[in-house]
Amino acid sequence: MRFYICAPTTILSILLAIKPETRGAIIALLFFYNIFLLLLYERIFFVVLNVLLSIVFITSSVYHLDKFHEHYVKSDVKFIGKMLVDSKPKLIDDNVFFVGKLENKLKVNVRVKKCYCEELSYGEYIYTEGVIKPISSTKNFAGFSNETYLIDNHFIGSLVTNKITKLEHSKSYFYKLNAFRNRLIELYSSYSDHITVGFMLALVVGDRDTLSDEIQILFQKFGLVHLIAISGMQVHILTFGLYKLFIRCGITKERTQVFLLILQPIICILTGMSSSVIRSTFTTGLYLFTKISKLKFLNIDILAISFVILLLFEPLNLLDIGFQLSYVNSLALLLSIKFLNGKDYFKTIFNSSIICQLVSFPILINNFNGFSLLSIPLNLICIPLINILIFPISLFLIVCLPIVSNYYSYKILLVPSDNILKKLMSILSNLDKYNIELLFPTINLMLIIIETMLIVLIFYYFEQGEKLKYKIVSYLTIIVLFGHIFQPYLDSKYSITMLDVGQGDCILIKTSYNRETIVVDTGGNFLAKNSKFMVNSIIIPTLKSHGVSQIDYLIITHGDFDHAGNVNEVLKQVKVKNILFGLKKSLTSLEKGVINFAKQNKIKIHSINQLHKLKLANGLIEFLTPYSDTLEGNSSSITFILSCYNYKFLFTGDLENEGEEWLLKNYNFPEIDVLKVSHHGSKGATSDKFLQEIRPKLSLISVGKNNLYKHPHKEVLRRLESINSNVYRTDLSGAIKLVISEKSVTILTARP
Amino acid sequence: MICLYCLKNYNMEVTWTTIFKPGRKGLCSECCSNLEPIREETCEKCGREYDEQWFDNKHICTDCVAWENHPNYKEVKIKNTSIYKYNNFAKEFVAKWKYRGDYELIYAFSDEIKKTYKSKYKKVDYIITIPLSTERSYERGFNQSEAIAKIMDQKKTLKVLKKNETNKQSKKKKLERIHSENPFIMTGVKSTIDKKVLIVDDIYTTGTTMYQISKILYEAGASEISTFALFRG
Repeated sequence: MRFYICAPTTILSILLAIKPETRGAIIALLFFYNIFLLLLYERIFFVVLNVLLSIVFITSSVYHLDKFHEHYVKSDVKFIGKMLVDSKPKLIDDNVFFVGKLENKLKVNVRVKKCYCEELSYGEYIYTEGVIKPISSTKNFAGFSNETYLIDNHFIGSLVTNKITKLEHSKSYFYKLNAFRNRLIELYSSYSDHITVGFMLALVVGDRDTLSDEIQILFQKFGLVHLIAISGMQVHILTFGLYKLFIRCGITKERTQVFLLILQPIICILTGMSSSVIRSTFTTGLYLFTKISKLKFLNIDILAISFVILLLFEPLNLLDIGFQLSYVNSLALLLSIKFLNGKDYFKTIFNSSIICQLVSFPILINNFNGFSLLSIPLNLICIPLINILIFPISLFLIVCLPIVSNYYSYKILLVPSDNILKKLMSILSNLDKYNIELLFPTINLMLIIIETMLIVLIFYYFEQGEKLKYKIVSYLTIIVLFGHIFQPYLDSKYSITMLDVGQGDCILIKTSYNRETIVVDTGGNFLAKNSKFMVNSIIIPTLKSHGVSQIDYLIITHGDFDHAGNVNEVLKQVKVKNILFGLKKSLTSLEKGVINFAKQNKIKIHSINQLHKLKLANGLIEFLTPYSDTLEGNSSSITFILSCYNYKFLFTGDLENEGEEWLLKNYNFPEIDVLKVSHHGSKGATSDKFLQEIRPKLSLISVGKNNLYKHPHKEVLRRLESINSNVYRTDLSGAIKLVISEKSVTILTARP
Repeated sequence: MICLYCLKNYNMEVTWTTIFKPGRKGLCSECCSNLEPIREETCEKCGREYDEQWFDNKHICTDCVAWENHPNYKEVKIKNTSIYKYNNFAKEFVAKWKYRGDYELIYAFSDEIKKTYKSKYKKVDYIITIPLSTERSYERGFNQSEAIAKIMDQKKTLKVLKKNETNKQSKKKKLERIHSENPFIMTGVKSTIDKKVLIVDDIYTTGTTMYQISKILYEAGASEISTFALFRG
């Protein structure tokens, strides 16, 4: 049937709806694709089908987005009504957290004090009264996008309540099965000190919470994180194994197929419904259905149909990396059938994991900007090991352990495997020293497309048996990839990125040829867990997207939490060479802690006063930091002017009026091009007098959406308007990036 | 898709090379599995796959050794390439194609023929087709050698030979064939001087035809002669 030719149309149509800024290019692509099909197949039918699909997908994506934006909570909303507990309630300190599903399928994060609610369980209807507050959403160029996640999962806000009444349990099988899964996880979490149980739960029921953070981070570092989750491949292995078993038991083929078809959704729910599991169970289900109804479909068509149907329900799944990887890998394996069909079983497994690594490479570097060299051999060893050995054993254990209730039997089974796994983990963590991570900075989508095409060409020529061309393309790919790695070292442009870290400051300055990397403040959150998340999902990805893995100068303007809160986490995870503090009378506890840590780890600490200058490639930083006996806290923030090419940028930290006065008295300001507006646009800073003196053409405000302090203040915005300064705010635009070349400054924003 | 040979409906495999190609005519996987491709290790001269039965040493098969001692063809050096063995399926296939006139069947091999042509014979100047006698030509309606040459490169195809009426080769015994008189005559004498030529045929059985034509071309001054036969008997 060749239904698969519709898949590109589906992708393009969804992109058309969710990325309006690239509308022109996508429409052109759609048009050329259809012309191409028309010329190729000479059948108008395909084009008609594609146009219909486009219309369907654009409408459904727009509908999904509109529904979200319509219900998304922008300011506090009162809520009274019924909702469904849609996740296992988690107890953190005194609060119970869970996801509540409203009647129109939208979801809210619910937080309730423990004393106000009885024991809740998954799949229960509750009646509640409370206030839905907006969720702060951040948007950056690189890393995890909070906003996409919220839309994707239909989260519209977070509900804070102190009144919950339990109603009946949900009668649907979906919730019953899920409740069963939760009970299973609970049953095993009492043995959570056994590392084997953690792996078992991750591999079989897709629950990673029992695994310790260290192991998860270790796996992440080596690019093996997909191994500690049940994958589509394992679902296929399971289904295939059951099929063989039933046939062996003398059940007819037809009955086995029907039974397995019914089993697919059950497997899907029990294994935690990750995107690759959904993909594989759905595809397997479709495959079995075609077999039962004796329809003849190409395998690739079945894959395409499942792709299109899943996207029809959740168009934004397309942006999910797990979803992308799952489909790309399956597609590549199906297309490579010719060189996988050998008789040598081990060779087939080896080849298939090489194929998967090659095709997922562009997606990985596009999203994570980094690629661990060790991940290649480790994947080659671990994928077969897990699929053939560990997964079946885990499956066996999870079925058998509840039956063998004797604690000593656990010991016989669990202790030896614990020892083996622990040894493996220690080997892995020792390997960490030898790991080299190649960084592929974000440059241009076109480059990723070219790399993808080159990889496809490698397969194309390999299959054709054209050895010469195959070699040429392989070498060309390597050259392009090296070019990609070294591009920032040849780029004379400066870039200044103001990250969207919610309420707080974090600015990355990258000088010409990646000579120096300067980070001004780190942003911060009061919860340690959130801080870790922020560093891992925003700061490190942004560094990597610039092709940088270490910070040369970390400037802490002052010790407030929204500026220096993440410092400890940053120092733990990123190599920092120098830390710059302001010269001041007293230090906050946060600053003292950082100084201690730095001393232990031989990081140089500098106290900065107004005399310091920092020479950079093609530029200079002059520190103006105010210092006097009367200035303290915000007003002693490190203040500096960055001059590069012919532009001057003033960074002010949280400088307040007194500090500004001091600066005006002690310093003759040159004309400033860009101002980082002090203290998130608070009224007590950025006075008219100060602005009149520096007259910035462009002002950047780093401020959280719907923040408690109501920053930026209207008055400050008015002052900036009165001097005709162009204002960009992170709460509206997301992260803001200035690219500075000799002749111009280009402004990019994460939100269109 | 309908298989060219068995005419059954089958699903074409979609791979990296065929994902955006419109369905081309071909054989179903069952018919494909009946073909035996010739593996790497072959006779240096005739392209026969290594098999102890036919080989005294690893490089040259016994038949080619015999040809080396043939009084008429001592100076002729053959370098033949074949793709498939002439097994029972191939025999039936050829019968259906040649004797029952199902011309389309050859397209089942067009990919393989093109691939071999591109990788080995890209540099030849001319593709020499083997003529049929007028009588045979009338019987069959097409020339099998020209059919293959057309798939390779129509522009390079050169018809410079003529054949006298003889009995069918396939009706003769091996020795009769080897010692039969050369029935081919060159018509365009000068065209092949100092040229690299490729002789194309469907089957290489004893090699008589190839040797006969090679000899004529050699005498006509061709600088390099290679031969291609789809099947090696």
